[in-house]
Amino acid sequence: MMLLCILASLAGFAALCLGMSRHQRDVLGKALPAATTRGLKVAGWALLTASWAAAIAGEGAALGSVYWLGALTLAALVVAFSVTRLSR
Amino acid sequence: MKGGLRQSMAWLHTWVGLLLGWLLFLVFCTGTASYFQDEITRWMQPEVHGLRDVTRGAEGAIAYLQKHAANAEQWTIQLPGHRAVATTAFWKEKGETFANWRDHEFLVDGEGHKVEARDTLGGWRLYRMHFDLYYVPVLWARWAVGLAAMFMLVAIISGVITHKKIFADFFTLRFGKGQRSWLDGHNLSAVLALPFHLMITYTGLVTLASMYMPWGIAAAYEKPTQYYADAFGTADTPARSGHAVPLAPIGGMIEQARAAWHGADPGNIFIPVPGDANAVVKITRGTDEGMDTRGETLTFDAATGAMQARPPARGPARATESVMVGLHAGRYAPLLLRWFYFLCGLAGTAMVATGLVLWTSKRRQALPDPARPYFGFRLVERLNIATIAGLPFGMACYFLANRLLPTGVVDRPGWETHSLFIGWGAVALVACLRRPVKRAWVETLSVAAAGFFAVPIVDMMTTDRGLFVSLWHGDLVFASFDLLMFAFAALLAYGAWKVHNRKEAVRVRRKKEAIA
Repeated sequence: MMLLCILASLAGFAALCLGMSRHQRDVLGKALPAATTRGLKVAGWALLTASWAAAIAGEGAALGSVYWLGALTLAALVVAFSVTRLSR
Repeated sequence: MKGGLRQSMAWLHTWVGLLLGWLLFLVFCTGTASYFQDEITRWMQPEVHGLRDVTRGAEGAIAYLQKHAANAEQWTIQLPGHRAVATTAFWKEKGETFANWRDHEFLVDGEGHKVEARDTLGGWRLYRMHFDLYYVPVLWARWAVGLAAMFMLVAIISGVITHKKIFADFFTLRFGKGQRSWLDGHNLSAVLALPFHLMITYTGLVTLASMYMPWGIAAAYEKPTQYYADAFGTADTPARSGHAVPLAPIGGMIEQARAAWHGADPGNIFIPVPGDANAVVKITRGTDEGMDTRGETLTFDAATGAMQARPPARGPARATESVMVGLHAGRYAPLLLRWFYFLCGLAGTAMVATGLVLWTSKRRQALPDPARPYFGFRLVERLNIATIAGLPFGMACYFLANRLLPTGVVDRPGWETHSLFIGWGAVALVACLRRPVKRAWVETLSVAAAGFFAVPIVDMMTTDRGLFVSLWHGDLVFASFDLLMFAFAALLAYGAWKVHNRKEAVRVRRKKEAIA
């Protein structure tokens, strides 16, 4: 369950990141259509919510929420460093 | 008006951050290490082998105490938490104060045998340094750390208000752009671990709240000790009756305690007037058994081993405080969550370090004469190097001293700690004397990297639990410790290499300018 939580928050932040015009330019070299951008944003938030659900399913509401915040920090750091790497 | 608020918040953030940044760096470094306090202690006592067994540890300790301290005033047995192995026990003779307890302290391994291990305070020293500092009276230190935490809370809130593009810059980290890169790093380490930073600062204040704000207690109680007795329970020492009565088996009492706590392990056993008819056995639940750290204490009749009436359940305020302390210290955290805590702690350390560097980076361009900065600028610059490279080197020295100091040295734990500050002081001296600043950075960071690199090497040479042996036996605690030391060495070396190369870049640019 925790692996699922980490993977979902990674995918969620990656989608949110690609839903931002600056990172589209940096990583893909072009802007994505508005509909795709919106889709990425929705998917990103949905995945983050899903990762919370996974953490709670695995560890209960209290402990799961603490896990979730930890997983979010890890995932966001990984995405940020990957974006820096990829945009070079 | 909006610009006005943001500007005043930026001012507040800058100066509060600078003033307490160096202290906060120490608090974050030692605090982050404390998440692996038990593992550090295990690494620093390589003589302790075997697996954890609470009951055998308690039985072994009591057997030794009955042989060597039968008439002591009290016995205390600290059982190993889930990540520790050794049981620590000590006794107090009549009339002694707790300052003497280290003279009668001994270790028992998981098999119940007393072990002769090198004298060290292990991870506990780093944990205490996190809020007690060192070489200063404890009370002053706690006030200083509390002040730093209070202003940290101010800095977090003013920082969020100051940060113009918290969402637009969410994943942004641009390298090689001077001040911009430091700002990115500062923002990233702050924003991405923001829930942790807020939690850790707030709960950190709660851990010592009654010390910082004693007025509530003063209003309701005549004596503060009466408040603590009401809130946390007392440890009254019964009088000796003079009738000798043997102690019932401790294993049965531990089993009863486990049953009362739905399987949770005890963490501490306290036996006043052992061997007497009036003796009791007080068993306290382990601090790592749940999110609430202040575990219940059960009292047993020493002669019969029967449990006395359970204390009343805690009120909501005490339960809340207990959970907040638990959240802060993460004692309950299983391995994965513990690594999350550690990662967030590192992010906090990076946030403080980048913030400090940012202060100089931002002002360098605006200097009237970049070759000769004003005194305050030079002071901050040098203190930054002394702290950011010096403290990590000091911690490496602490681990090295643990392996290199002979076992017979008087006050060995004290000298381990002095080594930390001697190493730190040496780097601070280099940081202040070396010119130019970039050279000071490169040299101090390289020394710190070398220090961490040396730890696993020296471990391999002085003990039979080196990295390869640990990996071969699947001893993950020792192997992870050694590998982390290499990782920190690599990180610091990378930093030194980066600064070194940047010097070249500046020189090349100057040359180009000269040619043009």
